[in-house]
Amino acid sequence: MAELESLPPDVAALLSRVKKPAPLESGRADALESRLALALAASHALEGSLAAKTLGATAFAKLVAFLTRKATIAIGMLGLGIGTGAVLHAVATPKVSPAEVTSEARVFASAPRAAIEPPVLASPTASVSAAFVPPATAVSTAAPSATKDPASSLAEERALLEMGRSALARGQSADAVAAARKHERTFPRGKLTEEREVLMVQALAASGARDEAKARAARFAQSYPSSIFGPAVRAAASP
Amino acid sequence: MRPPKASDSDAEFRAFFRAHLAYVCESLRRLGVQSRDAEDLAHEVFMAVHRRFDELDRSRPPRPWLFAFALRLASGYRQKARVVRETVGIDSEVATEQPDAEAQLARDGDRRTVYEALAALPIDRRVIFVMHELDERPVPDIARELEIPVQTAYSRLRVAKDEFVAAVRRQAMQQRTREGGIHGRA
Repeated sequence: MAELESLPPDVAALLSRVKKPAPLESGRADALESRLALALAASHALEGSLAAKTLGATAFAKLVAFLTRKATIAIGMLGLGIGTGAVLHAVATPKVSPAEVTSEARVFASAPRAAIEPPVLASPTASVSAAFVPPATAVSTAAPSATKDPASSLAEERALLEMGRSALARGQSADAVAAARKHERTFPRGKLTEEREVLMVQALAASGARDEAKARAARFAQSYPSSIFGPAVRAAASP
Repeated sequence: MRPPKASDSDAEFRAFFRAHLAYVCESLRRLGVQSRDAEDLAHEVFMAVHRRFDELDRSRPPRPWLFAFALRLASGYRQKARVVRETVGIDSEVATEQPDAEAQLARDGDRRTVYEALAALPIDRRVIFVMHELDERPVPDIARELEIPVQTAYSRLRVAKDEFVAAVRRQAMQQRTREGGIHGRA
């Protein structure tokens, strides 16, 4: 076997100091986990039978029950997931023409178990956004109780929460708290109150306001005992 | 490759996510993803992993499997980033680094040095270097995965090592010049 010259000692030492992955800043794993849960719930809900295959029948049945029970909130929630998803999608979708396929693309294709079809990322996200970009019609029938144009106020709610979520994703927890508080002031009985509280607890915890995060998490558990966000809220508020 | 029981699969995926999130983020950074984008890309990686989770071979170490996902997403990211740089007119990766990176720099100078030096390597050699020198994978395995002859892998790695060392030395020199410019003439 061909022998390789070893690296100079100082460079080898440098590499050995960074071999272990950098630990994530506190709260980041929690934030990412709930974001992932949200995005997965959104894609499962829309993939229908596909979801039943990948998620498992019981979990999917639970999710469907939840979605039908809370159609309005679900739509809002999906909107949130999609907003993020679409942005990421734009960043992450490789636009590779066959001529440009580099060795790294081949790595992936030939990875032992990773049978990857190139548009795998694109298709679910794209179909999701296509289905939900104009949520107005679905919403206006589902939410007759709002005072002004329900579609536009739901869009405002969603925009506020989306702002907060992306701030949190960037680690700007103070901005995330501010967005959640603004939502609370503007829409005290909004349709995305449950989602707002999830964001609020996560943002408060990330910004170091642990007491308020805990108090709100406790209230959340009372108000929404069967929320699918329950675990995420508990995780965010636990020390 | 046996499909996991439906009831277990969510909990298992969560545990898997928790266990490997840091590794995925780190791999993405090594492959040239800016720190502010690493979590977004990691999210995408795990979305893709979730879709393939029933293909996870539990008898093998999971990192090589995950690395392949990171590699693919990072490749798309770099192409996108190049487009952004060309459109916006930002001409170096370092220039797009977030402002609070300087605070990070003091805390994590070693990693910063390594990311910068890695960025100096062309991607095909960088990948081999990362896989071998940081993830400690045997060259023949890497060659098999990249579908290149073992000798090619060795020669790429040899060049990559020289380039990496040169890049580290260059950084140290620039560092000294900068410091000399500020303090040297007192």
